[in-house]
Amino acid sequence: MKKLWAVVIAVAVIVGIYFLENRNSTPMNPAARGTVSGNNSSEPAVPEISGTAPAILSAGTGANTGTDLAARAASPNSTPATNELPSLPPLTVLDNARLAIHGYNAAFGENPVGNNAEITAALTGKNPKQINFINAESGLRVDANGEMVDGYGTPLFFHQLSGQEMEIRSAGEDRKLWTFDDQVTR
Amino acid sequence: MNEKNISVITRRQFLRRVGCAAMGTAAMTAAIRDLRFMNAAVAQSNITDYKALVCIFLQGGNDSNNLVVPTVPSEYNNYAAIRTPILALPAGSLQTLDGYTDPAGHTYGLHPACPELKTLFSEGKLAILLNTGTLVYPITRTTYLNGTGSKPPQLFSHADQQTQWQTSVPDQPPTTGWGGRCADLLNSVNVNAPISLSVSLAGANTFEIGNIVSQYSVSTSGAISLAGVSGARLAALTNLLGLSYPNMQAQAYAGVAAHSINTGALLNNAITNSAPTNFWTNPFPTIITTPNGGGSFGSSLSSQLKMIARLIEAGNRAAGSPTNGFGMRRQIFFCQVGGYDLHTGQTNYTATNPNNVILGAHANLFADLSQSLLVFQRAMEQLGLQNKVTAFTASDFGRTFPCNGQGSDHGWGSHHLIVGGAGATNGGSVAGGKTYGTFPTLTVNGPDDTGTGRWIPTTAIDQYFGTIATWFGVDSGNLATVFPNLGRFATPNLGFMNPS
Repeated sequence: MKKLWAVVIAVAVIVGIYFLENRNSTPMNPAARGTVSGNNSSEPAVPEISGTAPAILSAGTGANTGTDLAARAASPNSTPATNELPSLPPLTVLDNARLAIHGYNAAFGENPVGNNAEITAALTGKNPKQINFINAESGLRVDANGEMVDGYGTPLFFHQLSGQEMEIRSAGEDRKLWTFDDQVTR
Repeated sequence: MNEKNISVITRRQFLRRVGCAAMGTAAMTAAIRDLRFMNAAVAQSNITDYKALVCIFLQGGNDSNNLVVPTVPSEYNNYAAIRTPILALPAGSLQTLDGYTDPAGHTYGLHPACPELKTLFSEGKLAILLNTGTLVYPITRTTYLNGTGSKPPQLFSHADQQTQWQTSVPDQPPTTGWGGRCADLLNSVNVNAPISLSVSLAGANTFEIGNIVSQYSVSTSGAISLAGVSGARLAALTNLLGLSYPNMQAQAYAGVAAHSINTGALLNNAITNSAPTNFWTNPFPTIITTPNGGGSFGSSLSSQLKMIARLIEAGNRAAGSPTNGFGMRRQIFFCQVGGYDLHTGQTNYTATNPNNVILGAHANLFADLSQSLLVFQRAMEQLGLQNKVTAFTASDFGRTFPCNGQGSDHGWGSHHLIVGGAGATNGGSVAGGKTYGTFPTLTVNGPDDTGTGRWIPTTAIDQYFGTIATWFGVDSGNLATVFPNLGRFATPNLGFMNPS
């Protein structure tokens, strides 16, 4: 009997360790690999973001409307519990933005239109079916202006090439668009 | 029994039946539209004079906020405050449209790189249409923001807005361009024309797609011929194509290839005399130099417009020996200049050289446009066709009024140019020397703004192009066929074209 208890405890410890390790890891979506280009071959560390921390977009299946988003963005105190989630590498965050656009396109047959704030609102519920295309694990965040920011805290730039093709640009580590370290995906 | 049968129709069966019905309806609609075009074309066949349209497409979305700048001090100060420092043109650098005040009390200056456009405006040969863009119905800031106004699909997207500008039917899938529909309607007046009514200097385009008339592409040096085939090789190929082939597909291919070669040879022969530089009183520039100390560069637009001028000269010339012209009555041309998508590098402004705001990529594009348009207009005057040829600009969209830090982003409404005529005081075809439409209130979150300095158009491109098409010969009974949405807007004719 003692041996049985020892085995049970040992299994519980192993499962616990495994769970904790998985929680701290940041697996990259296989679909995301190889689609993001940037001038830096290695991913830079995420710098500390000064000022009001952007809110991490919460998971949802339609409950999160653009109005909710704007209200939440305007109120730092309402940062959801998902803020506890770890930051993802900037390239992963950028690619998750691409996947969100693809998800919108799959649902509606075309990309969302407008500037960053309008596209962010569309991706987070202000769309005909009130679908939220951003999940909590994506690392995508919105700033006080309702704009989706990259992994460095700078608003993404959405360049609408056509109704089916969107170029998404991150300002990169220097936080300035159209410089050598910009990261771009489609 | 029947009720039972109806009740057991599966979803898949229902969709299949609906799909078949939809396809049948679409085919019938297209057939009716084609029949309407055929009937209309017959009705339009009483035209005997010559006219040509030249569409100059500014690809990428032109920042017309710096093409036409308000000069009333309070308005200029507002302009400069918002566009500073990267995009704010100094007041003293503007090509002011002296002596002109629009009905709303606005005065204007053009970009410093556009002295030629100022000349054309002062001669009454340039009209400016303010804040025009794609619209499904009239829309206001209120109805835009609350979602009750119908917006063109995929606003701010390059490819979609280019297509919508060229079809002028933003709310339907693109099938034909409005130039192509005009060509379909008027093609019958070109009796035995050796080349197509629709000619493109920029390859395949949506503007000239028609149901009946196919666009014919030429290069800036003439007809596009088979590479590496000339002399004895060409003679041998021509002989081979002239043979009879038992295979119908081979026979048809030989016929098309032979026709293409013959048409190319005919075209190149017809434009030979206008090739030399000295044929033109005002030679088309091959190198453009941007004023105010800007750089020099080769001009694509000037080369395209020169070929168009040569094709107009040949098209208007009587057919047959000894003139060997085309004897055409209507021609439509399309040319295009890229590079207007200036999110970055729009000007050469730097903190140490702030005066360089009047130089840079946008200034170069405007210098090219301005100088090329003046020379083209002078060429039409030399040919005596100034009242018979109208050139006009189009572009994806305007751009955001506030600076993005290095340039401007995608907008909506924008200002456009119509060039031609003998001058407003001489009864010219273009009622130039004036602006048309309404200048937007240059205020972010103002009455004309979607929210980020993107102007909501107050004039639809349907009105813009409908006015041009009416001058071109599309009669009032057929206008709705070419521009099906035109009836949604209060003023179908904006008045910038005089009958001629």
